[in-house]
Amino acid sequence: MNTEESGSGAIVEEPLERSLEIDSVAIRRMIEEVRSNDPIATASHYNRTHNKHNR
Amino acid sequence: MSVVLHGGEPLLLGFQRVRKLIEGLKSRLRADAGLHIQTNGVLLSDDFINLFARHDVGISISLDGPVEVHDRNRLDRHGRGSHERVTAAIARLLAHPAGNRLLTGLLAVIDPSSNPVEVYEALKATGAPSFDFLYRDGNYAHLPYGKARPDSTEYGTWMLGLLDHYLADPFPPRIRVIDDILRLVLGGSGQKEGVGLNEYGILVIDTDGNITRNDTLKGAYPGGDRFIAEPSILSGNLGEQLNGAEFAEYFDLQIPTSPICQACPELGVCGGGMPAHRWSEERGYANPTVFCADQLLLISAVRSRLSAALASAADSERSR
Repeated sequence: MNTEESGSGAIVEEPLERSLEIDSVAIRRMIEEVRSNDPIATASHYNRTHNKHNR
Repeated sequence: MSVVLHGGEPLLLGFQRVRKLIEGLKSRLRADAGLHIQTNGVLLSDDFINLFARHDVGISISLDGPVEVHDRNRLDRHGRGSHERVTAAIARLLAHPAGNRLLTGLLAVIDPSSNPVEVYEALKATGAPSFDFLYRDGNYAHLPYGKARPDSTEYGTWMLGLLDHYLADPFPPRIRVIDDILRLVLGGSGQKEGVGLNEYGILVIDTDGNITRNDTLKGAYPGGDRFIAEPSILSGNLGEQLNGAEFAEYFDLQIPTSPICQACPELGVCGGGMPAHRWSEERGYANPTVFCADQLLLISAVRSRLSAALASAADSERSR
């Protein structure tokens, strides 16, 4: 987490992915998914099929 | 749990039989069980799309890239390429009110002689939300198409071209295999067989009721995908059959036994690849994947791109 003072003087914590501007959308969303531990956090119906089979 | 209808080509069963199969599965499976079909798309009619929409069946369609790549190997029995029909089916599916919900993605088999950027852009142009890529099947006894030697990196080099284009795309779809490697490198878990060390417990039920091992294993030797006991869902309780020794041995196959894999720092990400790709006549499955050099090249590239992205972002943050 990054912290910075808000206008009122209170310390505001920012999620890392918002404070570090990663150019790659693909990398950024993967970091978000792993941090949130939610495989469909950033894409609706992603992997909805549960198709684990490589065919 | 999930059930995937695949083949061959599952739609060759015909509409009525597919309907009966899906209705039967839906009535007996748990409500949260996934139902999915992997199809070449050539027979994906509006009737099928409506059926899949009614029963929430996810659809994945095989498309290898632009027409000159796809039609190189995907020919019908008259020798005609199928690209035009497949892309028309994808368009028809996405035009359906449920299309975006149903179409889970496209599946492309890699031709290492093709241009990965052209393949990526061709798949993206269909509007599909995600893609996945498969290496061609092969092993040490029969090298995969386009691979000169076990230590050559034709597939890894191709994937590097895909990786860099994907990471630079400001509007990227999802690429499952690259996302899985990214996820694993970041400390998460894979989503599909082929990378990572998860065991997904994949069984194949043939149309005659026979239970077989992962069908990719048939590339090793004749009957490589068969259990010796020839279990069948028609002759016993599936749950009880799964407790047998043959099943335990089969599920253990996912973990690579080669000392090279066991000592490899990338084992947790690579997972030893698909068991089918580890086969040799001398050592059976006790080898690294025949794509070992390709995997190491790709994983190393993913790590360096991640490091560079984070370093660049940190530099930008410091200079603010």
